[in-house]
Amino acid sequence: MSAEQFRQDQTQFIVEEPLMEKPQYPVDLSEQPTPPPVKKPRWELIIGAVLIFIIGVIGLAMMNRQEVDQATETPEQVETAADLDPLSQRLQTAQQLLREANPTTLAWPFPPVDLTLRIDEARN
Amino acid sequence: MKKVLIVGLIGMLGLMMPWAIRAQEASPGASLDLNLEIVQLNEIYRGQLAEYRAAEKEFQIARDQYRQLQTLASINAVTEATREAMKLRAQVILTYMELLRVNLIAAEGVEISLKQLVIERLTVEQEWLQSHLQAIAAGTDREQFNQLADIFAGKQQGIQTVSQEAVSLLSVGKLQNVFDRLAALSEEVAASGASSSAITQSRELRETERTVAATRTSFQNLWTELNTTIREGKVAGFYDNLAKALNPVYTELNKLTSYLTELLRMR
Repeated sequence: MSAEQFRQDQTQFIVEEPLMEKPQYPVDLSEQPTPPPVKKPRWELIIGAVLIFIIGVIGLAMMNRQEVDQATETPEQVETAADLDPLSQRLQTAQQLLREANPTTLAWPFPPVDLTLRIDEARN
Repeated sequence: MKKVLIVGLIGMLGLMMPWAIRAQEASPGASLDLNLEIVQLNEIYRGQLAEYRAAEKEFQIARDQYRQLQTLASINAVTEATREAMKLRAQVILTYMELLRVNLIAAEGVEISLKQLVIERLTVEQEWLQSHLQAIAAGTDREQFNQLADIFAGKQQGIQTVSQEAVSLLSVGKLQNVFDRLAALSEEVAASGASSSAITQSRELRETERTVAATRTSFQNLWTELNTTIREGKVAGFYDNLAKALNPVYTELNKLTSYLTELLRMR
C-alpha cells in the first residue's frame, strides 16, 4: 500500500486518528503560573492632578476676569475723571468730605477705660 | 494623602504668586506726613487698648482674690496687676490725646486761636500723664497705688474736658472746611455763569446764595458758642449735644451740594 493510497483510505484514517493526535496530559492546577497582580490605579496622584487642574483653571479664569475687568473699567474711569471739569471735581471732593463729616457718627470717642481702678474701696 | 496635600499646596502657592507680586507693585510709596502719622497713631492706639483690656481683666481677678484671701501673695499679685492696668490705661489715654493733637494740627477750618488754645491744653494734660506714668513705675505698695488712683480720679475730669474740647473743634472744623469749599465754589459757579441767563435767573442759583448766607450765619453762631464754652471750660454741654447742634448745618450743606450739582449741569 502506497502512501497516497493510505491517505485516501478514510476508514483506516478514522481508526488511526487517535494515534495521530497530540497526547493530552492531565493538567496540574497547582503548578499553573499565578497571573500578574492587577495594578490598582494610584488614586492619590489622580486626585492631586485633578485638584491642581481645577485650581489652575480657577486661577486662570480669575486672572483673566481681573484683566477683563481692568480693561473694561479703566477706560470708563479715566473717561469719567477726564470728563469732569475742575469745578465738578472740587464739588466731588467736597461731597466726599461732607460724607466723612457726618455728625451722627462720632469720630473720636473717649477710650473705653475704667477711670476708677483702685485696689481698696475709696474711703468717703 | 500627604502627597496630594503637598502637591495641592505647591500648586496653590504657585498660583498665588502673581497676585502677591501685583499687590506689591500696587502699594503706593507712602510719605511721612501728618496723615501717615495719624494712621500710625491709630494702630498704636488700637494695640494699646487691646493690651489694656487684658490687663484690666487680670486686675479684676487679682483684686477679687485679694479681697477674699488677704494673703501676702494676693497683695503682691494685686499690686502688680494694678501697676500694669494703670500703666496701660495712662498709655491709652496719652496716645488718644496725641491722636487728637495731631488731628487738630492737620485740621482745616478750625479757628486758629481756639486750635492753639486746645493744643496747649492737650499738651499740659499729656505732660501730666507722663509724670503719672513715672509715678506708677515707681510705686511699690498697695497704699501707694490707692493714692495714685485717687490722684487720677481728681484729674480725669480735666482730661475728659480737654478731649471733648478737641473733638468738638474737630467736628465743627470738618463741616466748616466743607462749607468753605462749597462757598468758594458757588461764587465761582455764579461768576462763570454770569453770561448765561439760564443760570443767573435760575431758582438753583438763588437757593445756593440763600443757603450759603444762612449756613454762614449758622457757623458763626456755632463758633461763638463753642468759643465761649471752651474758654469757660464748660464744653460738656456742647459736646453732649454735638450731633444735635451740627445736624442742621450738615443738612444745609447737603442741600448746597445738590444746588451746586444742578448749577454745574446747566453750564
